[in-house]
Amino acid sequence: MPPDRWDAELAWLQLHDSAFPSGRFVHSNGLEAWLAAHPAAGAEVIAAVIEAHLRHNVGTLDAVCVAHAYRAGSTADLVRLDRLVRAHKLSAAARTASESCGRQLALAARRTLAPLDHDEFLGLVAAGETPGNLAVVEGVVHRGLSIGLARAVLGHLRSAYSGMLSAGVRLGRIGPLETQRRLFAGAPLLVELAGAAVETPIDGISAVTPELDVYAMRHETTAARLFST
Amino acid sequence: MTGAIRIGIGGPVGSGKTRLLERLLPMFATAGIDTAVITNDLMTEEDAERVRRSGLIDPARVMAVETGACPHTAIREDPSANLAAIDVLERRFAGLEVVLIESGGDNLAATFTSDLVDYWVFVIDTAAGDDIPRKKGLGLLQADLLVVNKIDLAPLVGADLDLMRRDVAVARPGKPTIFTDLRSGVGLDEAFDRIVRDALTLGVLT
Ligand SMILES: Nc1nc2c(ncn2[C@@H]2O[C@H](COP(=O)(O)OP(=O)(O)OP(=O)(O)O)[C@@H](O)[C@H]2O)c(=O)[nH]1
Ligand SMILES: [Mg+2]
Repeated sequence: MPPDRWDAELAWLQLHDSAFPSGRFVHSNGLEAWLAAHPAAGAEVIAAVIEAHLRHNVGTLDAVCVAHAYRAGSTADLVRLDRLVRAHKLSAAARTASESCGRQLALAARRTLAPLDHDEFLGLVAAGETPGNLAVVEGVVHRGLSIGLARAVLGHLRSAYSGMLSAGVRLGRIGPLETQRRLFAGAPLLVELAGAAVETPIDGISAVTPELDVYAMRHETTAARLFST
Repeated sequence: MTGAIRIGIGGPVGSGKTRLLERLLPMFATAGIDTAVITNDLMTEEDAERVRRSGLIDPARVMAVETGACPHTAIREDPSANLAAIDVLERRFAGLEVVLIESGGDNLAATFTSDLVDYWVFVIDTAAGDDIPRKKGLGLLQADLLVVNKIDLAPLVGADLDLMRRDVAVARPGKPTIFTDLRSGVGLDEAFDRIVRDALTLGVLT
């Protein structure tokens, strides 16, 4: 591997390191409310819920849009894509999670990752002129750092997976070792979803996880909560 | 720097962070300083609601931020939720001069990152033990201002304030510490003066 590719590999690790400050850790995407309503659910069931979220929501909507953002020909295309993603985020919670993490990633990337200093789309996100959904921002950021398309999509899925599992850990419902076991065993699923996502045309996007969506909406009005969503 | 000056208020659970906010708000108002508040409640919007209902500040100027069970992360490793809230407040209130950020009650090692705040206060409670300064938690060591609160309770729990003064002087050479009773207001003027003066030296409040 030529040295410049190592740069891209390291950048990929950096973006998907949970230490990268993009505010992911305050979102459970409905999992907090779901867990509260299912006090007896064990690791197996919880992992199934998270995997359903990946399979029918992140994989079919966000991951696809990461790929389209990555391939977008112009800033105007990105802005249109960004609006489309917002239209597919049905609950306020889903919009909040997607837009706040995307916006924070854009702000942090502009401040810390030199090749992105003057990116036009990230500038619009920072100025609040476009929603800045995480999927769109991630596509732009990965391309700007010369990380490959497939890795961009895979990274997005992987971070979504580990973020949900981590919420389960912090809510006291899954162990950290169990989480790592799942992450490792989940590799084929992530690869499968990434492969499908890069092939999906933009009019093929969908997000169908009604159960978690309902809990995410209930969570919006819950008085006692640890997570934003 | 541009934008409002950001002042963090951290410290263990129940030490008096929200009480300090409630005490400072009227003083900022009297001084004509345009102020807003962000609370990082652990579990509920309890503190945000308390400040909103207090009548001390326009409720629209109070925002609550959830911290995903990690109050220290939200003020240290990943302050993005707080930065986003500051951003909202600055857009909403053009003349904003000060944002007070109350962290979720946490442990003695919690510190505010300079990526989030310009200045920060750590509040401890005499009733939680007069040995706290000797434990040399990072919060206590590094805060710009240490507030040792609830001195009214010291005699009731047998906390030795002179000992605390000595230990604090050792732990924080050259850094200010103020002993307060935020119920009666002892030490409050001094705390306010100190915060405003140090904010002034940051060159932001003029
Ligand atoms: N006696 C006495 N009580 C105080 C003093 N300061 C605060 N309290 C009381 O201590 C309790 C906790 O105060 P808060 O201001 O809510 O503490 P906090 O640090 O914001 O607590 P969390 O946000 O839950 O971490 C309240 O009942 C206050 O009225 C004080 O100086 N003396
Ligand atoms: Mg409080």
